[in-house]
Amino acid sequence: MVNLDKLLGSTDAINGLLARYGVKFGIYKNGEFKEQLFPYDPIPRIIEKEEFAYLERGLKQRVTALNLFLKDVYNKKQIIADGVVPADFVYAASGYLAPCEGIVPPKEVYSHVSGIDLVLGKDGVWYILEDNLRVPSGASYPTIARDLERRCSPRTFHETPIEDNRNYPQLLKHVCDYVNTGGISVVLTPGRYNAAYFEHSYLAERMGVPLVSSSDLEVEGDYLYFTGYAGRKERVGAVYRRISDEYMDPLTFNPESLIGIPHIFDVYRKGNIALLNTPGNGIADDKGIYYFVPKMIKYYLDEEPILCNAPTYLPFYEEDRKYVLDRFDTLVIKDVAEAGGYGVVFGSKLSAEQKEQLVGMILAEPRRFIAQEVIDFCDIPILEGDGQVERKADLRAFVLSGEETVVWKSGLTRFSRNPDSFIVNSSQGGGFKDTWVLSQ
Amino acid sequence: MKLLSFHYHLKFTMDAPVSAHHFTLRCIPVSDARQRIVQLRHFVFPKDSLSRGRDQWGNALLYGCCHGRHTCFEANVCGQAAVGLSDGTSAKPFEQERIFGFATPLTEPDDALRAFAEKLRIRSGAPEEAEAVMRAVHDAISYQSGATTVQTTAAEAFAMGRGVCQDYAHIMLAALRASGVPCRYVAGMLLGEGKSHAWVEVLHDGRWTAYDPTNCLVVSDEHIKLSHGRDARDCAINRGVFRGGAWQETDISVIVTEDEGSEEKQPW
Repeated sequence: MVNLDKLLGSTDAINGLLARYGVKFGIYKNGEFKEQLFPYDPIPRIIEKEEFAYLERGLKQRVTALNLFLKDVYNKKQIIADGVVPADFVYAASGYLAPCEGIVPPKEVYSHVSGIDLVLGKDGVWYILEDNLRVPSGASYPTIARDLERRCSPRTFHETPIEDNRNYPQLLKHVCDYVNTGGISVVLTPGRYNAAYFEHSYLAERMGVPLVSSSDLEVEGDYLYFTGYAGRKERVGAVYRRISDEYMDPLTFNPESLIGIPHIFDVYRKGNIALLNTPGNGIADDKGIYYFVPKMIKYYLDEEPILCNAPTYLPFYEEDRKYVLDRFDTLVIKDVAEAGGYGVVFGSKLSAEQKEQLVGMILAEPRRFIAQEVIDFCDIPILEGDGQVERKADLRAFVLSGEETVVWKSGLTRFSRNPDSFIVNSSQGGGFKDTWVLSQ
Repeated sequence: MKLLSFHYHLKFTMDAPVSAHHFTLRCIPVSDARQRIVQLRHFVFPKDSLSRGRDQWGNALLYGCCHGRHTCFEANVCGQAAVGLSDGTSAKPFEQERIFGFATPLTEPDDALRAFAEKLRIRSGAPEEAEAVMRAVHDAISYQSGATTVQTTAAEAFAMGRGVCQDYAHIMLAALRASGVPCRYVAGMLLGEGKSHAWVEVLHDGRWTAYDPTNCLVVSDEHIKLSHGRDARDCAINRGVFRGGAWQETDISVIVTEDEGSEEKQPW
């Protein structure tokens, strides 16, 4: 049995240190930017070796299929031609970006960093809640927490066989090096007002690469260059960019973007730079496309999916639409255009009027919504005051794809502070835990 | 087949100096089965760097930057093209062209435009059908410059009953797409003197065939294509960002003349 006494006693000390290191999470609420501490809870989520090996197999399989889908959907479109994924779901999705048509990125890797959100159901089954293939954040939190845990309670880590998770920045650096087209790698941040700025600076430091903003980068001719403080100009071969696709290049995407780099997309299209993750990935983590991921696994890999989706229905299909309307009160309805825990509605919690309104919207725009069974997922203990209480939690697993696809032996466990809430997204103000994967 | 000489001239005049000016120009014609670019020269000024690229639809780009302060920016593209070499161009496999069957914000039909499309009973985009759509669009609105802007949607122009070549093209695209027929916007130049022109290509049976709804003309040997895309936005001749606050005046002139003589020797 793991002895946690020392660690639990150090909660305040660790949270104090996290605050001092600036481990914060920014949220926009009512149009205002607020930075708040990301509360750390010392009781780890522990995953047994065998169980993690199972998750590892399932996650690798899923991410492999998603990468193949991205290559296909922006090039040959065989999966559409074969009727597995309807064209409507691709071209009407906000994540589909036409400027990415015909691009095959360096080494054919699309989703270099995939954040896959899972929950453990009370039935003992792990369900995939969503895939995040754009710029998933969160790996830095358990990494720095582990550092502090080890300092506060070294014995625990001496006595318990726990996989070290502090190699995350190195894993990421390996991926950058693998896809790098020549030159240095950099971490590109939109700046200190971004919700995950702590993570950007932490990862850059630990990877040993420059943390840059767009004004430090410039396209000249066919290449991208970084000019450092000393005025030295270096070619850039890989950009781990933490700004979203729409803001990357004002000459290809949103012309209003002030944080973009003009012409970076032209250089990328020529194959002279690697962008992590590849622009246009939003088509594969779209809430509507999620439904089709198990089908993709069968289609591309000819394998049965190891990990399952939460049971999902698409009102787009008539049969599913009937089911959704019949069982409305037992389902959770999601607007595919929204992210970060917004646009998620529990059928049972709506007033008659709200329900009527939503049903009307579903009938008018069936493509815009998905419905899922509410998964009763496991509570895990968190500290509250002097005692422990049980709260909902999920797990974001990180899968890194470079020369090979690896699952980081840890993950971000997020929990809800509110006892009635199923939504654990950090944008909604929850807390986090370290995830310990046992090595024996 | 005709041999055409063309001169595309684009000039911006700013009323205050700007700097860090990044530009992408989409006004370089590309050879295909229908047109062969025999000769091509371009001249952009001022500039510190200039590169060539392609966009996702295969259109040629000229992109670059001018760092220093300037109040005027000019691009000239001229050359010679043999056009009308074929009555169309071959398409990629259907699934890879299907995206052109989906409406874009500029070609999203409203009820009126949908009713207009329904009356035309479009099924396949076959030549006789496409010509009928072209004629109907040509008759649906009247040409009036200044009535619409580059932001005007197909539905708005259709409701107004007036527009320019871009609006004719958008309405034709909206009508065809409402029936699921893939079709694309084409920006280019037309024999004579004037501004740039726009027309439509329709996919049928593995081939793209071009129709000019503004002039009610099946495109043969008087049009030089510069680019194609889902709508006018994909074919923007110029896109740019610069530092500075300035009003910008754009002057575009296009001259296309027919050459009696033979092709110039040096192919580009």
